[in-house]
Amino acid sequence: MRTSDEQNYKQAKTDSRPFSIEKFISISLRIGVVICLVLLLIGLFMLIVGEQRQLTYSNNLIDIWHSLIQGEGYAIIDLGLLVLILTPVFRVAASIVLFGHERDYFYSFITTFVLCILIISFLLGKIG
Amino acid sequence: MLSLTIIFFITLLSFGFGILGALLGIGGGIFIVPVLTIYFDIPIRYAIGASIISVIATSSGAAAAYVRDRITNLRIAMFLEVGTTTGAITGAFLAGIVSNKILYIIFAAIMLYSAFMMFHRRNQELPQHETGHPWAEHLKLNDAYYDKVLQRKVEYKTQGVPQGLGLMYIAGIISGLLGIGNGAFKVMAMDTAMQLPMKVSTATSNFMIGVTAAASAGVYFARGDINPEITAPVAIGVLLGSTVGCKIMDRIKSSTLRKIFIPILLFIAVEMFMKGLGAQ
Repeated sequence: MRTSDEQNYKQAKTDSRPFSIEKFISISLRIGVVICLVLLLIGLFMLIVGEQRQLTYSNNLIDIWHSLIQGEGYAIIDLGLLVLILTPVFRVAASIVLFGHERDYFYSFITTFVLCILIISFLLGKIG
Repeated sequence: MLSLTIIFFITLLSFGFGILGALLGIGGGIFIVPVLTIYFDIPIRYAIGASIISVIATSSGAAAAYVRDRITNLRIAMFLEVGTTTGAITGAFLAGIVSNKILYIIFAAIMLYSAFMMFHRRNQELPQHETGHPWAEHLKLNDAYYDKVLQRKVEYKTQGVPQGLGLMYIAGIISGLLGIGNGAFKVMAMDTAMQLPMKVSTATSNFMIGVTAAASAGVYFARGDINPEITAPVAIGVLLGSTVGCKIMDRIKSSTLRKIFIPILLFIAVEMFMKGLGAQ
């Protein structure tokens, strides 16, 4: 009884459509999180086993890129954290397209508005 | 370089915060910052940097499962984000005009009040409403999810849409002024004003806090507040914890969730009240 109920519901809600906003966002978030986790684990491992050098990590993208090429643990961690920071931004940006795809233009508009405010506050550098 | 033992304990504690964050829709900054500074002697700016990352980790870690299972209501999240983001910008401009001391104390009072309201409804499993707010129909905010504990589909009708939006605007202002994530306030707004099922409230709040935190994370990153060797164990712990939190959510009742939430609200109220007394 329980399983058939659950199956029916799932079928009605998600599986009947080959593509849904929920499915796309869920899968893309999972991919982002796994990539981030792998990078963090590798980076942390390298920091722990690596030689005890003075930690001179940097925060601009070009420096991180240079350190990445040299295989520095902290740069791999930074890359993992950047992937993590970008997951919510990606999720908002993708929603604009996905709502549009479902012909829900009102929500496309709302999401675009939110993304614009996020960018403005990012530029202001003052959001909580 | 932190010792292996410290890295291990930070990961373990963060695992616990990840579980709490996924269940309750809060970022956990309120726990992580004091724990890192007091017990691990980590400078406050690195502790805050790590807590911002932990908010995003809780959010993205849990969202994959909650969005798939439709416990997170994407439309409600997006609609309310309009309030929180514009509120945060307003807050940024109000900085210096409003006294932080008074804000902390008002905030503490709101948390205390919502703890009381939640206690009042502590045994309520699901809200019962035949119809939703007129806006909810137009905005498609009424939805349903499959509750694995009750073993049935739970349909809900969203109440108080303008009130919810207004409260989110206030939540955003407080975030912008005090630099806190404000997940507890968001849950309270959805639970009290919009009368959503508790699971929907916490999962949707969890989804929303990641978006606002991501916007501020860039700033902390550029400022050098995000220290890789402290933040990596925090992020790993929280990501794994939030995944486990989602599994626990499938096994507990909404009323249990509310009972866990009440002491957290009281803790936040006390914490904010103390800050209010201490702030200049």
